[in-house]
Amino acid sequence: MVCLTARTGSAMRSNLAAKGRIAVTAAHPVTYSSAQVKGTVDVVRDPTDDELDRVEAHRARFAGAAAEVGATDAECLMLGDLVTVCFRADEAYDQTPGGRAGQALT
Amino acid sequence: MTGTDVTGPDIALRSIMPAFEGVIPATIATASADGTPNITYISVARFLDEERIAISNQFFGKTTSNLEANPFLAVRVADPQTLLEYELDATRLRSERTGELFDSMRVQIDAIADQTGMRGVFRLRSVEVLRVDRCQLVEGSVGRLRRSTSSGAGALDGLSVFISRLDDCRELGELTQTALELLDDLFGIGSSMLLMADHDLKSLFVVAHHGYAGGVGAEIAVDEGVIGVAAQRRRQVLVSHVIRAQNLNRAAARSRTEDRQEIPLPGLAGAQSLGGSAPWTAS
Repeated sequence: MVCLTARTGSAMRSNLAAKGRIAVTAAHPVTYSSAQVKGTVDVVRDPTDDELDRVEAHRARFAGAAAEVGATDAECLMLGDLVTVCFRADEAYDQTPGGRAGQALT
Repeated sequence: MTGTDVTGPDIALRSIMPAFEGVIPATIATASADGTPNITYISVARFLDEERIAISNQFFGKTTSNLEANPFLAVRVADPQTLLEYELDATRLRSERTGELFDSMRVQIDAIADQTGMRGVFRLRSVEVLRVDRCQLVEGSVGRLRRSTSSGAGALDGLSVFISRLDDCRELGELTQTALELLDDLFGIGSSMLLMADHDLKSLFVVAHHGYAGGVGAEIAVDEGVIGVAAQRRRQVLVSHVIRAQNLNRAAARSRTEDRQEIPLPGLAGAQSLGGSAPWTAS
């Protein structure tokens, strides 16, 4: 399950509503450790209050980490309408830059 | 993703040049023949002209095979000043492994790698030339106000003063030092140094500096670090974000060793990655 910024009526919302394949990548802003997960969209819905609290906490941690590498106001990158996406993950890959990029994670 | 029915970008690429400086990593999304998406980060995305950009391929695997099967893709870039994000729907035109464009991007990657002791780790495999079919502000992108920058007229006035002041200098030491100080006073370039090569082109020596602690006479070998590699290849090297470049290279180095950091990926069955324990950014 992930929580994404996607404005109501946007192309991303339409794509998610089609419940097709999805790829999600995430990278640590300091270490660049990265991973990608692929799967099929199962449920798309508005976030719960608990999920919004977790997003807010995550945003603060992200902004703090980004500030370590000189990026200020990085939380602006995470503002906007939020949507919760539940998907059945069936593939995961290391995406950290380097020779292991693309290797399957088990 | 779009097809070829869209002609010309909606937002002029030239108007979002800071988004190509590489301060905030860009991403590229491709799709396989069966429509399965793939998304990854790009080291260098360069503006070529109003309709084309180039991206570096160092570690692409799935991206390359997807582009062979399906040339339509999306690139997302962010302006580091405004933090506004832009999505570029594009079509892969060709892959280059030699030539001027390839060499100019390779020297930039080589120079940064050498500076961080990673020579040979970051190898440019190819440059992918993309035609941008559409450039749009990401829906919901919030951003912040752009910081004010000097106008073109202001820059021209500054250049006029710069030339006039240099004309007043009467000997080389005065000329070089004045030039570097004026770069600061007139254009806000607070740190600069001027180097000259020795007679056999093996080393460079600092003949003037401004804003650095190091003194005149400091020496650097040609082919060593960003300065040395730029001198050896006789090309400009732009390092937009030194810390980011260093961290990227360190990540690549860790990836080659067994003691690299484990990626704290949740188990696939019922994975709950929302707001995990690490401050990752997701795309």
